[in-house]
This record gives sequence, C-alpha cells and structure tokens, in this order.
Amino acid sequence: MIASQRQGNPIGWIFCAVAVSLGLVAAAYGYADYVLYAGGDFLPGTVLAAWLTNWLPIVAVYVPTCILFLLFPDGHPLSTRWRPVVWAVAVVAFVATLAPAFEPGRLVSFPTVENPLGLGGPIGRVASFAKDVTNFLAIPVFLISLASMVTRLRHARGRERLQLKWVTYAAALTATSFAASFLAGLLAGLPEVVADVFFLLGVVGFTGLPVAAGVAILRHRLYDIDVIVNRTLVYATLTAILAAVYVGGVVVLQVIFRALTGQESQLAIVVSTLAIAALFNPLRRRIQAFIDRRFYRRKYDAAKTLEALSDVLVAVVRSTMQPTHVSLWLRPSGRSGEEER
Amino acid sequence: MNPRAASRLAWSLWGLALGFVLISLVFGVLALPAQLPEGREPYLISIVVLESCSSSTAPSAR
Repeated sequence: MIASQRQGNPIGWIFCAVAVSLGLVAAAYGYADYVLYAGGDFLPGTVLAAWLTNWLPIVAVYVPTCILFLLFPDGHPLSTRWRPVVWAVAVVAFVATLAPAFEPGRLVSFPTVENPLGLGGPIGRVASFAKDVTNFLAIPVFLISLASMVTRLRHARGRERLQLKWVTYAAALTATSFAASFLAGLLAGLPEVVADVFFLLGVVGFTGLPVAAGVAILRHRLYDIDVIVNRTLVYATLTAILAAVYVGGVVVLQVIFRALTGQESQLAIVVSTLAIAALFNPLRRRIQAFIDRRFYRRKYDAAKTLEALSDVLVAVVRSTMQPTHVSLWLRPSGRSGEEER
Repeated sequence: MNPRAASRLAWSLWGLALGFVLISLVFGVLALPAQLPEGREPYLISIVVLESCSSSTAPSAR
C-alpha cells in the first residue's frame, strides 16, 4: 500500500523487497529441506535453493532493517552528514551478500551441499576474508543505523515524531520479545512454551513493522500511541511479576508441603492462583503509578497539579456557596476533550 | 513512474511474496518428518504452524 500510494518514498519499495526476498528464503529452505532430507530427491534445483539460503537472508533481513532505520519516514537520510553512513551500509551489505554467495566450501545451513558458485584460489580466499570482515562490521553498522533513528526521534516534532513512535513501538516489541524468548530458552526448568510465546510475540512485532510504517506514512491524522506504549509497559511488567509470583509460589509451597506431609499437593497451585488473582488489581495500580512517574513525568505532574487545584476549588465553592452539586469542567486548550469532577 | 504502473508493480510483488510463502508452507509441512542435520529445525516461517504441525504430525522431528 505504501509503494502504490507513495511511489516516491523508497520505504514502500523496501518493504516489497523484504516480502519477496523473505518469501523466497522461506520457500528455498522448505524446498531444500524436503528434497535433501525428506525423500523428495526426484525434484530438480535443490543446490540452487540451498545456495540461495546461504546469502539471501542478509538481503531479506539485515539490509532493509538498516536502511529503514536510516531513511524512515520520509525516505531521506537525517541530514547530508548521514549520507556516507547510507553508502557504508550499501557497501557492507553488498560485500556481505556477495561473500557467502561465492565463498568456497560447504553451505552453512546445508552442510552436505558444496557451494556451486564457490570460487577457488586467491579469489575464494578474498571472498572468505571479505565475509569475516563484513561479519565484524555488521554490528557497528547496524548500531550506527539505529543511532540515526534515535537521533531523528529525539529531534523530531509533530507529525514526524508520531510516525517514528509507531515504528519504534513495533521495533521495541520485536526486539524485547525475541530477547525474552532467547533468555527463557536459556533458563532451565522453564516450560518450552514460555519461550515459544515470546517468540510468537516477536513474530507478531516483526510482521507489525510494515503495518506500523504503513499507518505512520499513510494516515493523515495520526493517533498518538503513548497510551498503547504506556499500557504495554504496565501489562508486560504485571504479567512478568505475576508469572514469577505464581511459579515461585508453587515451587516454595510444594517444598513446604513435601517437608510437612512427605508429598506434593494440588493446594500449592490453588493458593498460588488465588494469590495472583488477589494481587492483580493492587499491583496493576502500583505499576501504573510507577510507570507514569518514571516515564511520563510531565503528564503525571500536570495531572497531579490539576487534581490538587480542582480539589481546592471544589472545597472552596462547597464551603462558601454550599450548593447541592458542584462540578468542575476543565477545557484543554486546542482540543475538544473535557474533564469533569 | 506512472502511478498506475507503480501500483500494479507493488501489488504484483506482494502477490509474488505471498506465492513464495505458500510454497514454503507446502514444502515446510512436507519436510516436517525429515531427519535434519544437528541443530537444525524444520524451517517454517510461523511458530504456530511449526508447533501445531510438529506436535500433531511428527513429534520426533523436534
């Protein structure tokens, strides 16, 4: 949709390229897996499919992510000073793509297949060396691209700031979910499904990236997602704490039951469930207050000041005029919203 | 580029991507019983499909 409605903005075309190349990577992996390891060896083109998986993921994931960070939302670098960074990303991406495509030896994901286009002799050694160099450079270049977006977000005002917030939200959801999935996988004793749920959330965040970018670029009256970000922070923290309380409660109570009765009891699960049910609302309120104080200080202070002022005003009117009903209406400037007490 | 041509190209690319995804799902499901090399799991783009298919059709593949 971005590409069809904003042809001049490269962001839409970048997402089109990502979709096609990711689809091709997935198809090549599935095809090569089936032909090589599941008895589909009557089908042709296996080596080509396996070869594609050796270098195409770089084009599908790494390159567009860096370019998106550098060019979103208007399709231009942050300033002319950032132009060399765009060229650096292009050069690193080009070499990082070519090197594994022509590096001699067996393919990484399909160790039974020799690289059909692997170059021997000194050129092959140069390809291997170039791959090592670009592997080393990939992370700094990615971080510089990310720094570009952070700098843009810090200096952006108005509509551009809202556009960046949308994509930042999706990117943050993706990054934290994949990181949580990775950490959950490392923790022994944690059910495998926990890591899978975080991974699924990461997939949702990743697929939400083009959606967020599309909304940000195509919507004229962009909704401020501060409320969504706020609620995500609150409920993610709440879920993590309640899960920890539940698991900890079950483990500790089972230990106590084993010590007292010599066997485990279902009562531990019942008590832990009741505990998290009782904790839900008070904990949510405390976390909400903490998040508001820590991350939304300006709005929090303004809300507290207004609340105190309105209490004083209402009290004065009650004591002096003694009406049957008092209500205070605050009309925010420039907006049609209202608050009533 | 002519807006109509650009729009057609964009939607064609989207269709092509969708086609590749469908191919990957077909071969991904067909490849679930495969004995893959050490450290490799059946490649499917969706963990939901991966979980449901691997647990219902080929528990030994994971």
